[in-house]
Amino acid sequence: MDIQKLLYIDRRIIYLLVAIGALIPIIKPIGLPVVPTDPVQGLFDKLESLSPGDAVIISYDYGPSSEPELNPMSEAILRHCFTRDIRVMIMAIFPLGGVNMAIRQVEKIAGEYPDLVYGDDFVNLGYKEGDRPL
Amino acid sequence: MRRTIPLVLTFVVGMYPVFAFFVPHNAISDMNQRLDTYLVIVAAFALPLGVVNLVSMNLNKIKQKKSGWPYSIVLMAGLVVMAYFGVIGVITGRYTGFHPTFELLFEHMVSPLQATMFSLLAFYVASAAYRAFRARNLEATILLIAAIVVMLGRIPFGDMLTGGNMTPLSEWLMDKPNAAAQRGIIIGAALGAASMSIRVILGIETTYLGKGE
Repeated sequence: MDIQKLLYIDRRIIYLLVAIGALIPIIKPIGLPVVPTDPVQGLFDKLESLSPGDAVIISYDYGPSSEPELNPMSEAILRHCFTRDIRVMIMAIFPLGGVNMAIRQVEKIAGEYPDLVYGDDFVNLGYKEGDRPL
Repeated sequence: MRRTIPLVLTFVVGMYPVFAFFVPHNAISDMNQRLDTYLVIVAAFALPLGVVNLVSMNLNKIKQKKSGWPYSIVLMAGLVVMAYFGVIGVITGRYTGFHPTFELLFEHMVSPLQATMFSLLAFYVASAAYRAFRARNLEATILLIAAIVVMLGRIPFGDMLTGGNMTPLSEWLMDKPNAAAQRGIIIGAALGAASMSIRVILGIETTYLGKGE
C-alpha cells in the first residue's frame, strides 16, 4: 500500500474515525485506568490539608464551550470541599457564563448535602469585571 | 496643547506605579491601588464600545440587505433579549442575580450552541493535525513525537498501552521543554511590552493620540 495515499485520505474518513473514537467509550465504557497528574494530586492534597471551617475561593473562568470538559473537575472539587466542611466562595471573571454555570453547579452539588446553608457554607460573589487588571 | 496635556497625563500616570513600587508609603500605595481600580473602570468601557460597534455594523448590514443579513437580525434579537433579561435579573433577581428567562435561554440555547461549536472543533483539529504533523525533517519529527506523547498522555488509553508511563512522560514534556519554550516567548513579549510602555510614557510613541496637532 502506498504510504503517500494515507496523507491524502478524505477528511470525512478522519471525521468518522474521530466520531467512532468518541462514541465507543460513551456507549460502552471500557474501564481504562485513570492516572492522576501532579497538579491534580497537588490540589487534592491541599484540600485534604485544610481544616473544617476553612474557606476556599473557586473562580469559574471558563465558558459553556469547555463546560463538558471542565465541569467534572469542578464538581469533584466542590464535593471534596463540602464533604470536609470546607466553606466555598464562588466567583467568575470570565464574562461568558462562568458565574451562571457556577451557580447551577453549586445548587446541584449543595443539594446533595442538606445541612449546607447559603451565606454560611457557600456564597456566590458573582461576576467580577476587570479580567487581567483585576 | 491638545497633545501636551495627554502626554503629561500619560507620563504622570505611567510613572506613578514605578514610583509607588520603590516608595512603600501608605499614601503612595493607596493612590496606586486607586489607579488599579481606574484601570478596571476604563477597561469596562471596552464593553459598551463593542456593543455600539456591533449594533452599528449589523444595523447597516440589515439596512443594505448585505449577504447573510437575516443572521444579523438573529444576532440583534439575541443581544436585545439577553441584555433585557440580564438587566432585569440584576435589578429584581434572587441571590443568583439572573432572571429565570435569562437562565432558561442561557442553559438551553447559549450553552448547547457554544458546546456544539467547540465539539465541532475536535473534528477540524483532528483533520488539520493529521495533515500538518508529517515527519518531513528532524524538527517536524520531534514535534510529531511530542504531539503523540502529549495526546496519549492526556487520555487513559495511553496509560493502558504503556502501563501508566505515558502520563508522567507527557507531564514532563509539558512541565520542562514546553514550559521553558513558553517562558522564553512570554519573557520576549514582556520585554517588548515594557519597551513599548517606556516609549509611550516618555512620549516617543504617540500614535495613540491620533493624527493632527
